[in-house]
Amino acid sequence: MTLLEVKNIEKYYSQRQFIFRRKHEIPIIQKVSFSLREGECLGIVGQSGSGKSTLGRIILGVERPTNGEVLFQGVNLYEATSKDKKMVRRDLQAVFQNSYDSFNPKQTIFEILEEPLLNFEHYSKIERQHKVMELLDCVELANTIAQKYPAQLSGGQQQRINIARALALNPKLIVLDEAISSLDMILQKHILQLLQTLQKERKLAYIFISHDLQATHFMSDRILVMQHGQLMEEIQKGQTCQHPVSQELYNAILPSHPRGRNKIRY
Amino acid sequence: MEKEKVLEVKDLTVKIGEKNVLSSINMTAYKGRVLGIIGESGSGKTMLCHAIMQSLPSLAQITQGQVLYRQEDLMAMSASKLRAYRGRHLSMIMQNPATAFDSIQTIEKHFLETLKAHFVMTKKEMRQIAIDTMYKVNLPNVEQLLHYYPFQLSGGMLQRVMIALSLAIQSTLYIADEPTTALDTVNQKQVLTLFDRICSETGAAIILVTHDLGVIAELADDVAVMYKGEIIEQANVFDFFDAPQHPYTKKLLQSRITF
Amino acid sequence: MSQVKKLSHVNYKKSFSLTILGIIGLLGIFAPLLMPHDPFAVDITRKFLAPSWEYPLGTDHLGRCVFSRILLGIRYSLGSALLIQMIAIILAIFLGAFVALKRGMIDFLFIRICDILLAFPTLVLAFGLLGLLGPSLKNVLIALIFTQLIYYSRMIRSLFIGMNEKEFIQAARISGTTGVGLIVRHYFPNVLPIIVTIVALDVGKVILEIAGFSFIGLGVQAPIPEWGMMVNEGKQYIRQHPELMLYPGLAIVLVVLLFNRLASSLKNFE
Repeated sequence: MTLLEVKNIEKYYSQRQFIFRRKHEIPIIQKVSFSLREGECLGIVGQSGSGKSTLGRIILGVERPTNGEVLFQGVNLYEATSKDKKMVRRDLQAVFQNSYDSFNPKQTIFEILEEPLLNFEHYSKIERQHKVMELLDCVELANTIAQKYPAQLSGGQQQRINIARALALNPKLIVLDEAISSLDMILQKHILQLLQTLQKERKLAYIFISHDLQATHFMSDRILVMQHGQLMEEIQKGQTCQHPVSQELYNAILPSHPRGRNKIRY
Repeated sequence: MEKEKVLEVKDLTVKIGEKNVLSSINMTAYKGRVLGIIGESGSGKTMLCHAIMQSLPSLAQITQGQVLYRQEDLMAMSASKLRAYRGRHLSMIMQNPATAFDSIQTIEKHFLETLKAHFVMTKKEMRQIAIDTMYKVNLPNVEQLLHYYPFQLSGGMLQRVMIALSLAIQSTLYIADEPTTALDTVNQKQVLTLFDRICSETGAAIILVTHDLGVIAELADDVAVMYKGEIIEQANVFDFFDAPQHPYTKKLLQSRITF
Repeated sequence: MSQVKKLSHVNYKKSFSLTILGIIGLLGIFAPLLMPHDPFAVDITRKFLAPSWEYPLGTDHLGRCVFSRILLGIRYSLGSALLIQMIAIILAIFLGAFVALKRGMIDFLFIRICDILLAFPTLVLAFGLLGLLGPSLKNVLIALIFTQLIYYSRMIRSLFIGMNEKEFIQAARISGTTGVGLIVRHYFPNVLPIIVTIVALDVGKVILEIAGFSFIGLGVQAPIPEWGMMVNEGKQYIRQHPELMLYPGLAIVLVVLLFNRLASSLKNFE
């Protein structure tokens, strides 16, 4: 069943150059359409500046596109009634790259994880506590962390809290925008595996946005390659890429062993 | 072939208060070779770079050990000599190129300032050197680029400008602290290829600090693994990947994602 | 909650100024019990007495106890300054938050009006208002609350708008938090330290302004022992009895300095 449908999305940033001159329109995203099934992981790759993050924010409903529509479970995100919007909010969550910046520094971990529950569920204090502990378990963190502030956690822990927050409302789709790029290698692999386990357990769908073709390939069933705000190619898992833009990204993958270098000095 | 030592770190220990941030670090960077240092965040990699450059934060103190640049002890040098050395022979390439530039000065101005500090030459000569080195690092429209301000360039381009600056003063030792972490993969590849060329063409030594095994696999000749302020394993890059010794190294190698 | 804890968790400099200000505040609250004499009791036969056990700071030109008047003056000088700041900042938080979240036309109009009013120096604006309302303590309060309000609501609006772009605000929106929840849980706790600092810093300024108005006769009116008023009354006898201006003057200096010190120590935290 189709979960998300993106139809002819376009986004322009207008730049007024002084008072007298005409408005200047800079295209960020041009005519992007795709759809996503339930439980699927869709990768979006592209170099920095290709518009993939803006696309992610449009899908999340936090940045209005200039043209086009985003249908999440049949609801148009940007023309929905506030009741429908609230329903969408429940099922559509996100994890961003910069884990620390996405926390309010004045809230404890407990308060951070409690927030989505306060907004949507009518739990008692004890039920909320219970649920928060459950979420921490889910991302393999100790219960004692709940009383700490984000600044006291390591990058990996922070990112896991972000994932826990996204999971709190049992969403159907999580948009992961460069979610692992700032982590150490061991942690990256660990978080990717954690995400995959969660996906199987909860029938989650992901949109995995990254500049790293290798990690995206590891996660995704399908990959969309973007450049200059346009979709260049769609690669199915196991297929080889054809388009020069995808080729370039493919060639930039670093070898996993020094023997895989293009040339060897000495 | 006899390997020529450029930088030698002997038994270096750095403390912040009572805590050892670096404990007895021993390592050597050779001419024309890339020494890769891999470690997770908080392992003391950046501290090591600063210790080599003698630019540690005031809280941190070197309690023992030596940092030898071509047999000369950097720690025993006078401040003015050290300053001259730092710009002239040792250059540091930082993770975030955007903060390493002065945003109210053009790229050209950065070149002029740097060159003026170390050489006696006319403005025209300096400009020529700037253009040459920028061309060498594969930057497009070099002449135009000189008049740009740092914030008008992308991260990848800025990182290449930074390398061009070091190239212009003919550094013999590059200390690159996570030079590609802030870049996307395509830019990362370009910067690494550039380092590789510098290494073989100018014979400079490169100390490459990273958390990414792929970067090591792509570029390093020797590898040192840092873990909690110590070097727990040191090997040739092939031995390192084929026969890891330490359990942490093994775990690190297992975390690779294969395509 | 945590914010309040952090604020009272004090460093040395802060605790010093807070303690002294606290003592001064208590003196003001319990002034009626502590005053050796009725500060309004006129006794011409006892004018210009030198300090003694009976009159710790002597008496003024009407034979009133200067010490008692300064004690009671705490209520008028410090008390009204704090009152002004409290009311102004609370109103400003509501106004600023409302405008910052609404944006659009309301925001545009608000900013233009603020710009116009801020083009006048605060004192000139307050003079104008006082001229309209007539001199009295109540009107001084109204005029100063108004001028502070313009300044603060504009500041709070920009602080809030500056936070709009923060990633955690977006994360909260994605978690479904809206309107009041956003303000109470996210915007407010993060701007609170800045607000507290500026409000504390301005208490000194407001005390000076109240005193200034009294001194030139536009503010508090005669027998009320407001410090600025006392300086004003003392100025006729500056040659013979300069201490009549000195005591209230020193009291003003002390309190203003303490508030500035407090504010600068608050600025250092975070």
